Amino acid sequence: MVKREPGHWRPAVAWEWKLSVVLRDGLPLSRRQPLGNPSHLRVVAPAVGIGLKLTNQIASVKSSQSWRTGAIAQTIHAVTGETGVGRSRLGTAQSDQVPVLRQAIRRFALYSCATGGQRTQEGRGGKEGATHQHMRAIARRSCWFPSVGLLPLMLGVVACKAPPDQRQFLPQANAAQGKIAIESAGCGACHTMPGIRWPKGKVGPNLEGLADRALIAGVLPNRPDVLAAYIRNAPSLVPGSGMPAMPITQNEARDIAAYLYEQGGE
Amino acid sequence: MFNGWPPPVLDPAGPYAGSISLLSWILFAMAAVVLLVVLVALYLALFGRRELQRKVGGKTAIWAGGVAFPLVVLTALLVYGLSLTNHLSDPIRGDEMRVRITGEMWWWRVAYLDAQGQEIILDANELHIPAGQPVVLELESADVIHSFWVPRLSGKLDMIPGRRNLMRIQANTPGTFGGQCAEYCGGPHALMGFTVIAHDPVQFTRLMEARLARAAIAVDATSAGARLFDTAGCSACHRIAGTDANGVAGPDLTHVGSRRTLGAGILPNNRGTLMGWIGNSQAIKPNNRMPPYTLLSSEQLMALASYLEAQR
Amino acid sequence: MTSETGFDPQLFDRFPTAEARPQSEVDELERIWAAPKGWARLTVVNNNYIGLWYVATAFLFFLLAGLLALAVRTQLSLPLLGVLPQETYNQFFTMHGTVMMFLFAVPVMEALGVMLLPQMLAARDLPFPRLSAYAFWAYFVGGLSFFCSLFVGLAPDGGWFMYPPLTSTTYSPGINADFWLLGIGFIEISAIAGAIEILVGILKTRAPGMTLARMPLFAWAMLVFAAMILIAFPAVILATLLLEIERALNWPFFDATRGGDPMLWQHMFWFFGHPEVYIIFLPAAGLVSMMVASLSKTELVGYQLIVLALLGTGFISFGVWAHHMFATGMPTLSVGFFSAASMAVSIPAGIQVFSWIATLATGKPTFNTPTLFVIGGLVTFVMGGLTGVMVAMVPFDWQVHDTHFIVAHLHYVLIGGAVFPVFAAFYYWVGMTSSRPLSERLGKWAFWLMFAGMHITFLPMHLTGLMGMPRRVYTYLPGMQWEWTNLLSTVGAFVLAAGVAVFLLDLARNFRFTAEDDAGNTYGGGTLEWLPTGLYSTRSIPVVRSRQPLWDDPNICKDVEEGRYMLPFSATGLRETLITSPIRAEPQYLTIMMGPSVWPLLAAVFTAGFFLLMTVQAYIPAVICLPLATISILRWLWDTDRPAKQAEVDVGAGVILPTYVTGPSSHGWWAIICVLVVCFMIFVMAVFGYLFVYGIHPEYWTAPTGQWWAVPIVAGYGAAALLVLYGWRLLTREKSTLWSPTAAVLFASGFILAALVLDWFSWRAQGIDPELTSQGALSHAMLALEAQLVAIVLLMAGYLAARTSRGLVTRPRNTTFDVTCLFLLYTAAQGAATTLLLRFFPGGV
Repeated sequence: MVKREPGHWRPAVAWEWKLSVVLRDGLPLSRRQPLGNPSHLRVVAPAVGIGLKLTNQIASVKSSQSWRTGAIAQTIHAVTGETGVGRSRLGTAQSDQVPVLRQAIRRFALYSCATGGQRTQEGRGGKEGATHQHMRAIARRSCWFPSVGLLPLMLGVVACKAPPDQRQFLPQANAAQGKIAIESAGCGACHTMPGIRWPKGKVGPNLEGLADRALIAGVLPNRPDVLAAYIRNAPSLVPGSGMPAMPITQNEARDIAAYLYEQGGE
Repeated sequence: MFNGWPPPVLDPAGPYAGSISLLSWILFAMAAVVLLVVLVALYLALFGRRELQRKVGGKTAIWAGGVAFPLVVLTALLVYGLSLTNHLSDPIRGDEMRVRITGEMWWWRVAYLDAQGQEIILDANELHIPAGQPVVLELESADVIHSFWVPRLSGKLDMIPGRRNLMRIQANTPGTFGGQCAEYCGGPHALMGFTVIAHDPVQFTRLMEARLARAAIAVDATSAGARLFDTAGCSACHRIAGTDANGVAGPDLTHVGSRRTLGAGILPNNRGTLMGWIGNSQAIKPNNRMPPYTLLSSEQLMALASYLEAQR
Repeated sequence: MTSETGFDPQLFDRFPTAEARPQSEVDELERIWAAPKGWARLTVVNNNYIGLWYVATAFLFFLLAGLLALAVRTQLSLPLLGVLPQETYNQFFTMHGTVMMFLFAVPVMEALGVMLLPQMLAARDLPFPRLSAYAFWAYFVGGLSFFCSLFVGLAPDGGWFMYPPLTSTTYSPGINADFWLLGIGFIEISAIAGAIEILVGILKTRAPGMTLARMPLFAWAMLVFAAMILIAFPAVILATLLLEIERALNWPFFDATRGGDPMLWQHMFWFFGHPEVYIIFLPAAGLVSMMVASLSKTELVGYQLIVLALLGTGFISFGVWAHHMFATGMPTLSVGFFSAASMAVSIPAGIQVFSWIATLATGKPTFNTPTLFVIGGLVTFVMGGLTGVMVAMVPFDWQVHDTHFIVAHLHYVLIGGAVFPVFAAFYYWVGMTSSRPLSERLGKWAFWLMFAGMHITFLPMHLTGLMGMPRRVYTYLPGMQWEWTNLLSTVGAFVLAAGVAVFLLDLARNFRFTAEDDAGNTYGGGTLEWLPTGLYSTRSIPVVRSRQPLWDDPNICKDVEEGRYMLPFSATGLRETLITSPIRAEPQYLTIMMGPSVWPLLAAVFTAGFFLLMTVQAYIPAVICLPLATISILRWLWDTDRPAKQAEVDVGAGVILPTYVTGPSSHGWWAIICVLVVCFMIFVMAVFGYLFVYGIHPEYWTAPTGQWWAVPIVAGYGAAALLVLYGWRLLTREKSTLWSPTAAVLFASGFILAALVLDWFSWRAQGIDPELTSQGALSHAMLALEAQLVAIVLLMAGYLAARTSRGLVTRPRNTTFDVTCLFLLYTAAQGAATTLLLRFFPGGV
């Protein structure tokens, strides 16, 4: 059990602060400002902005459900929009970027709250979560090498996935094998899933973010063993479930579950 | 290492593809030799010693390299190529097994013919053939131009509206061979696959007999799925032998449960994918001709899928 | 020494003259040939401007289509990517092919012709400068609007060869296909206009003494190129016309359910489409032949052989179209013929390749940028040619046809055979039009990036095709092992693009347009385009005594500039150039050329407007545009065909030439003959279509009845022809009034109209319905073709009457009158042939 100390430096808050540094063109928001002169941020801000927006575009296109979305057009729009911003000394940067980034921030904050909360609930977090440590290390590093550390991390927040949670660890399951099993069983015919480019079925629920969900099929607790069993034979666990029993082995089901947890956290 | 080698064109599984594969190797060798000759001539022209340059620089060199050399190479190739063409288009004996394959936007209608040319077994997107025997395919089109191509068995031949092209394929040993529409036919042309399955001749006869017997009876006719198949309107486009469902716009579903794939060679075939396909095939194969059935409940989808699974 | 025209070749020996001409004459030339300033610059017709704009526009389309290719390659870099959705992808690859073929490859060759040929032949300009301007503006406006269809999602999506029935209304109900049909059909008309200009320019405006055997090879190539366009393009114009009619009026030409045949389109399209490849390759080969000689600082080895090769290629290329259709199930015999012809066409290519190698061996090439591009192009082209021989082998083609192997093959041929030579030409000839040459350093970067990118992209693509990946797929499933080669191809495409970007950088840094103080002969070429020039081209027009006059006569530049050759001044005070005879280039007469004018520009805008508004179904504005376009064209023509005050002038050293010539030796006569060749080819293709469809689906055809109708109809056409001939004779009789020959022409056109109307009504009376069967559709289409000609005849007759009323018709002969009469005669002949064909075939005899 982790007891959160009051005033403990929470990564989410630190992140929010750092993002706003970039957002506000390097103007400090917080008093607890470890950086002396943020002028270097003023220089990198446009580049970061373009990078963020592009990544965000690509990320949103990848997960987009519509085949008709003009991905190129969006990307071009993002770039031209940013170029205009760069010229006008970030005049419109804030209004332009805030929604995108705020979303990212919210997602991240939700994530860390959720993991923290669940950890407490599950009673498994005897030691400090890997996520926590990781974030702290990053934060420390970015204090020392701010201009170097910030850029890739900013991109990372939007584009990449956070590391998998300990809670959702399945012994001996292989997420890579899970992807192969997903493809050979054709799960995509009904579900849109992270990392599966095609098909993105629309019959069953979207499985992006599954790791953060509390319930499976709105009924079962979201636990790895339950998930694996559900994947293999849903009607036996939830009578009346829309999902049929699938012709896969038990190991394959575990692999698929591992894959979904690995990919499915936002 | 590299898994794509040998490529299907150079990995023939039957005599018709085999002779083309041999021709391909001859052509590659020819191309390599000619390219080498040109490159050597170019090298000598640019960097060779003076007397060699003089040789390459004369009119004789042009006559030799530009006229005589290609004339010899090409004539030899042409004679070989034409005789091969002739051999590959030998008149059809007429006693081979015949299958009519009709290209549709974006799937394949398959009809096995009897000796009189009558369609006796209907199927889609999958062709079963006996190994070791030539099979004649009658290629037709129902809408636009498609092209039938199973590279390991034969070259390709177009399916043209208003015409019937004949093609022979043969697999030496049992196996499964993939193919794909090769002529751009609009929309999801990229997702128009095809599978040929060659069986041991005895097994093949058994399979065909089973299918013929199957055509007379309705399978699972009293299930909820069967009723739904009728009431939800599936039967307007799809046919299932032995039942009232006799639509012809879409693929015949009499043997859908035994098919390797769904959606013309693109999805694995199981209850889950059947449900996904019926529920919203547009998310899987955009712009295909089947509308999404988003009104069906999960029970209904499940019932339909299990009914179809039973159609083997 | 024999003579072609009665011109005494001894007269050539008077040049260069002993004394230089006064400088004041140059000032006058400058005044006469000056380009308008400000916004009026758009009305300019000088080839220096039009040629450069033309090249620049073509290059712009190259860049745009290249961007589309990058998007396409990105989508294919991994399986099941969603960069381009299905519909967008289908539009992108269609537009990539269409724009590259129709808006880049052919126009850029024509553009280089317009830019280089007058200087290369030492003419003051091409013979019909306003036609060049019209061709350019039509292409510019039409091409850009066509491209913009992409931004509103209305771009065509049927592949660049638009096979019906996929492109018929049933399967392509949107106006996307109409954009292709009307847009491309229209741009082909502009290409034909340019081809006529180039053909007549090469045959009639060469410097005196430049016999065919002394002509630069680019001119030879362009001559074959232009002739091929005149023969090949009518096929695609007719095909697009038929498909557009099928879409708009529901006449079944290609619809198998009503007796049409989709293969008709393929035959017509590829009868154009394969020569098209050589239409693109030959001018590039001409450029290479010239550059390779200059860059090696030696005479080209095997000049005659190359000329023969060019002619042979042009000839054979019309016998190979069906090799695009080996997989359609053609009879073995015709397959054999086309296979043999496809292989035979590689012999002329081999001759050229070995001639270039021989020239490189004979001379001492330095490895500058154009040389690199030439050599890189040569190697690439040879590789493309070898895969070409492979796919000419029918069984092999059955496997690789319509796969990425073909994509790789055609890019090897086109990039090696046309794109690299064109880039070489950019570097080599930029000195003619820029005050600074391009950078050697950047140029080498551009070359190596493009060369590497090209091979990284397309070499693995052969394997992709052998692994079974068809072309034109917007995605592919994983597990086919196509991932690696595709990824490699995508990387290569971006490397190639980087090379083009370096070239753009080079242009931005070094290209500065100029007409007078150009950088000049950077690479030491020996042909006439490197003479000192202004907007009036050369000061005087030299007598040519060899193939490389600048190498053989070191004084020629000075002599030309001091006016020691022909026409060192303006003899009539107007824009003028020498017209010479087609074979031996003996001076025949001096032609007056038109100056800047807004009318070609307006005509082009309205013509483009008509076609594009038709496409978007804005019928009322379209109908308004048509008469405006016609009026603009007639207004521009109104200034032409006016004899100068001086009937004969001294062009220097006592050589006296007339200023107005009519009849078969005039360039106007040659131009109208070219137009008639185009009309005739359209008719031939229509007859082919008529017979072809009958041969495929005779069950839909009925034997026509009422053959006696042919008697009055043919009699009507015959009477018209006799009247025209009579009018022609009346014009030479000084006694008759000026109106009587014109009246004969007017009556003749009346007869033609009456015959056509009679023909039409007789068909309606028989109840042959164009919408019902292919027979009805094809016979009505042939009547419609005739009706088009008749409409033009009426227009020409009216125009002639207007000129007569203003006393602009000269006696005893007049070019406008000649042109009208020739067109009328042809129309009558085609009308009679149509009537007889439709009535006595099938089953009539």
